[in-house]
Amino acid sequence: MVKIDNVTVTYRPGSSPALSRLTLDIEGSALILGPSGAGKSTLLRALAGLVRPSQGEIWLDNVPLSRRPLAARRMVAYMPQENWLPREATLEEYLRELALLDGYPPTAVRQAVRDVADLVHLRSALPKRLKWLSGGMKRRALLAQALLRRTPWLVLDEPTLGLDPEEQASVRALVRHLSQHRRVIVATQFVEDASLVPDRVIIFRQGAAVAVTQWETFRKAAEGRVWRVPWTPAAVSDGHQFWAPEAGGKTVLLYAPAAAPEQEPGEPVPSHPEDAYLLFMQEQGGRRHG
Amino acid sequence: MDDTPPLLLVENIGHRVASRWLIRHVTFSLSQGFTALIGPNGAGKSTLLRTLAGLLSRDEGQLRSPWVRNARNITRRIGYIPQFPGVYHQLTARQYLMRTAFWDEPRLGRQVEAKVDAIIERLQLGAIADRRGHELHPSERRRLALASVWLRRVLVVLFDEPTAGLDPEERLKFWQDLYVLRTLPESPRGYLVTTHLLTEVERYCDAVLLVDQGRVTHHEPVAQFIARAEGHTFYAPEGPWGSRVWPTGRASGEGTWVVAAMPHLHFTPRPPDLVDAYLWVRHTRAEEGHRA
Repeated sequence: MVKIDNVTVTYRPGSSPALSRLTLDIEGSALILGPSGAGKSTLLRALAGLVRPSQGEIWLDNVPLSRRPLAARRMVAYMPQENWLPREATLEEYLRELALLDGYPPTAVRQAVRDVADLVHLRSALPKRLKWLSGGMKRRALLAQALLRRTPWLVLDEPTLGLDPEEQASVRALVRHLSQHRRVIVATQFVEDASLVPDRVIIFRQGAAVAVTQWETFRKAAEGRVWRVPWTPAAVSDGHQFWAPEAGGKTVLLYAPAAAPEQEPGEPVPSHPEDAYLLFMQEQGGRRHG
Repeated sequence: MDDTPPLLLVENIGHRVASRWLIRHVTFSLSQGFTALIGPNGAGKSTLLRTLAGLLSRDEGQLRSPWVRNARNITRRIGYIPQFPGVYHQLTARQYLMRTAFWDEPRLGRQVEAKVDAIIERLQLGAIADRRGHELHPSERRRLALASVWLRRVLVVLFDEPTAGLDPEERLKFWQDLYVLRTLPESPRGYLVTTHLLTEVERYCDAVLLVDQGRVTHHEPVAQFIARAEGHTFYAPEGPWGSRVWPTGRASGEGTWVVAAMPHLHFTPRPPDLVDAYLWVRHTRAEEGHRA
């Protein structure tokens, strides 16, 4: 169990905190959804022992991380958001070294590396130098190194970022499977990734957890609140209406502030999970810039 | 897509490095509206955009347009916006736009100013107009790039992964800007946009252009492409499912969302979306490749 107790993280003195007085308990797997800059990555780095809270404490299975940061390294396998990899090593060298460091018996290393490469469909890339891998392959190599480690917790930061649609599908299927059998914490800005851990979706915004929900509830939250109207300058004028364009450009979608308005603004449209996210964020105070 | 003549006729173009063709025999016609350029990583999407923009050599084939009389001027009517558009660090956004407008076509200062003011107002760039390039956020730079292609009066805009790394609100803002831009007089008529996010393609784009291994394999309206997966999309109980069933990475209370060659016992039909169609087309194509 992760117990986050009143945690604040500030990267530079005087700057606004990346996490602000966060208190949160996570039992089992969880998914953290939110916009960029919401503090998701900071929380994951803190769980991996890479960032020390300026205030508060994180307890990971009853181990206080700020007092025992090295314990975190043994308890958490971490996939960072950035594609940090040793460029000159081959994928096989990289994974073998990590397997040895993790304490695999030397006779088991080769098979473990192959198994994990198979899971992320990178078997044929094992002899390649990491610098020659595409962005999507680098992402999967980082997922492989996290999977290789036999830690109680698996912490994945944006596992599908930069992947092409086939890679997204296979990584999502894999992470969903893992989240049912291991304790996995995933951070993402893609609404569709929220189905990876359907039972616990935690929504972050501006350094705080603003909602804890389930995928089935969340994906339908915009039902009855999306309406199609003809494109007019009034419909798309920013400020008083919340709208999205629609393919073809002849109509737009309007997001109604609450379900069942007295007067129907247009034709009702089935909602998409992304509509639920956009409406939720709008109600939380709208976008921060742009 | 409508009956107006296509904006750009791409005929058999190719680009090579030494003897290796990165894209070859690429032929399609770009219509008005938004076309999504999709395909796996490494398929040649960026190479194709840069070749169309004239940034990479066109080693065979030709570009034509019924809208441009002199074929040699065609690349001047194509605007290319990379994933991270550059700016001049010391110029303000307004100075940058003034410079772009003059560069494109020497005009009277008054006319240029009026044009620049107009686009600043329409794209709501007032808040950043007097800030210098180095102060601009990447998404603000992209909006500035949009303003500059409008000033250049290009026919077609090529966008390389404009929404990669953006969160859903930032992505919505990007598409709102693009749709607003399109309604302005003298705005670009066609947009070719690369992306890996098929949800946004389904919501905002008119057509898909699927590229694989340097060739165009499909080019059709989004709805027509989605219909390819008709009859092959199901809710499935937890796997394993056996051969010719592929997970799409989604799930809901009804089950795991899969595409499958045939219905199975315990599968329930589900309406297809663009992710399904893409995966169906890719998997069946890979199988054909194996058989060939």
